[in-house]
Amino acid sequence: MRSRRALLQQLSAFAGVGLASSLLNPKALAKGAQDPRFLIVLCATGGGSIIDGPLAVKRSESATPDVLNTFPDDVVKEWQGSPFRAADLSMDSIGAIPAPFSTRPSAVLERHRAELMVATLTGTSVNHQIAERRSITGNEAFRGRTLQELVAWQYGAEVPIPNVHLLTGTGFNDSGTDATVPAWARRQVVADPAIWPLSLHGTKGLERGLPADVLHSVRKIREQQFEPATRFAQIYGESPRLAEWARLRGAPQDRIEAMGLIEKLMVSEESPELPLSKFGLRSSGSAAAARAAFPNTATDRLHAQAALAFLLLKHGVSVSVTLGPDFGFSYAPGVSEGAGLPPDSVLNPPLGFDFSHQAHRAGQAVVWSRIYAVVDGLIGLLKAEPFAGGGSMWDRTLIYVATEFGRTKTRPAGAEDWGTGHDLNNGVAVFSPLVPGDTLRGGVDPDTCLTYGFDPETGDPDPSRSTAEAEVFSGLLGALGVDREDSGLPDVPALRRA
Amino acid sequence: MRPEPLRPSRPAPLGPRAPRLRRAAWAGLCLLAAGCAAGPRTTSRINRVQARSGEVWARDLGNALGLQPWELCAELGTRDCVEEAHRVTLGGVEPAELGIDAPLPEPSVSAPMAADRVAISACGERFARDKAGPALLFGPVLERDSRRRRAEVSEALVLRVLGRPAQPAELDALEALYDDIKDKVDDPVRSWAVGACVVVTTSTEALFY
Repeated sequence: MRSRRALLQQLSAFAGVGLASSLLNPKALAKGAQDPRFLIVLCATGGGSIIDGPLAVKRSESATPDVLNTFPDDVVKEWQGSPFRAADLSMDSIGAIPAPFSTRPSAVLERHRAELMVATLTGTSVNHQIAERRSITGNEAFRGRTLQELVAWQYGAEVPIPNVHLLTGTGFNDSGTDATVPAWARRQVVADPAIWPLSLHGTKGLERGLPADVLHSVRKIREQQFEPATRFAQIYGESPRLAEWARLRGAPQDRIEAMGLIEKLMVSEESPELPLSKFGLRSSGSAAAARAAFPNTATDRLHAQAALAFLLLKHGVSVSVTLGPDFGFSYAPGVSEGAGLPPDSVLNPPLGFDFSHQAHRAGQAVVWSRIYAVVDGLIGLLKAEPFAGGGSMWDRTLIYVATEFGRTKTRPAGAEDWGTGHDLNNGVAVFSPLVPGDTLRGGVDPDTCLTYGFDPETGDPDPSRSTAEAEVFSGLLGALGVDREDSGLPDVPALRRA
Repeated sequence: MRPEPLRPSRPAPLGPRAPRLRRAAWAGLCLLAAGCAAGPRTTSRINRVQARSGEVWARDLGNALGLQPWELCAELGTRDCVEEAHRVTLGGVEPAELGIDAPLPEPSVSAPMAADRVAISACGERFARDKAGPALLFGPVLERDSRRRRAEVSEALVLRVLGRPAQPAELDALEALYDDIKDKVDDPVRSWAVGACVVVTTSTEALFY
């Protein structure tokens, strides 16, 4: 968009840095927009423990398995030559919640481990909000910019809403602190994926709307004649807040309405609660495929987020989407209160992964299963979606399973379920064709269940080393091809595909 | 003892020619200050402007249009626009389920469109009720449409929504809307009435303070 380019030209001139960084080079950004990468930040809210996910430790591997978080050998699925495992579990309850469940993460890893990389990590905070923020800023490693902002800045100059946050109220959703990040690259928060699209047109779908050309006149008169005549606008005309409001009323609004996003992003289907056709609207043509992958969009906020995330990427609305399970308790549709909880009816235990305080093994298993299901669905949808320049959208997408921290590694001797605290030691899972697949960077000591680091250059495991947040942050930016010129970030080639 | 009545202070008389001198001095100052004839123009150096939350804006809107908050706008006939559908978009909070315990510091990209939707819906409701009678706001143009009657409605709109008398240039702007749309629609009275109402209720003066 021309206005964005002009802004960037001014910014680069002001910064006096020439055009060394492609983030300040309008031509480079326009080129990036034609050859984008897509970032999906899938937040494992509450502390997704990597040794309860793809780095499960078998009982037979450990010197003291009874007091550590190890799994019975017979539930751990392995693959020849792969560093990854999956613990397929069945239990009678999720802690105090009398809901039996079965999980089969092995099915997802069977399909997608060839594009899975795990990097071990040692964080710097066991406070949820702070650790969440550090997971997307690399502990403020690049002038306080977030991963999502940087991807939006690099690749989103030509799309209407580059950086969308579908999860809310967590540190994963923080804005960065660098005022030079363009306003259009900053986060846009979507509170309710099911009805947010209704805010993407000024009049369409209203019972007593105005014809489009009348609305056009109304806006023109308001902004060009009425407001300039008011004392308020004369006095506060140079307010940055009003300037931003005027910007949003301009090109972004025109583009969003012209693209018909009120319908293209309508995840929900026609229902008595959402009588779309009565108001001249209809569900997105691509929503059926999204709902097939995420069947609980009407009742499960994570499914609704995932379906909308796909539509945002598919329709060229965004290049970065952030989603994840929240801390709320949700259960399957059709389950009525007081009737008991049938098997697999709990979709999200209270507190997400943080339910591990009460029931580590069951809580981790249920929420990891949830994370894997979203990964599976998104990969399937994006693989089926051709990209205009060739290949599929998945070929240029990176799913970063972000989390705050790991969990304490010990358990009461022989306990089948137990409570855990927060632990700095952990790792992150990344699904993408842009990273080395079926690859573990670092390792796990089975005698402590603690992870250890790796050589950032070669990727060789190094038990004497731990991985810093800034290294993972930089490695992900490298995999996504985001310019890190003058960032001061360490180079971590081991986290990108050669 | 009765308090002495307050009087405007007056400068000491300068002699018989003083009034003429004062007028001349004032005229000179006016010439020096460009634009003085149109009244003093002041711009803020601080520009401390805040957005009204959707809830506050909608309450003012309801008061101005004589509608209850729940009568303003419902998306798909079921979701209250301000309380539910566009609550966060319009600067509201939702701490219980979404963890949003403070208004978003930056306006949402869809906030101007959401504001338009609420205003169109509310103004449309007011027009429908006025048409059914008794009229509260749009009566003059519903009885007989004319430039003078549109000006009456415009004055009432500005007074009710912005709480002050309309300026001539503002009335001209709202009349210009009629000229702009009259040939585009079958029902110019409704389109103008609702459109003028939207202009005023979604002006920056109505949305910010």
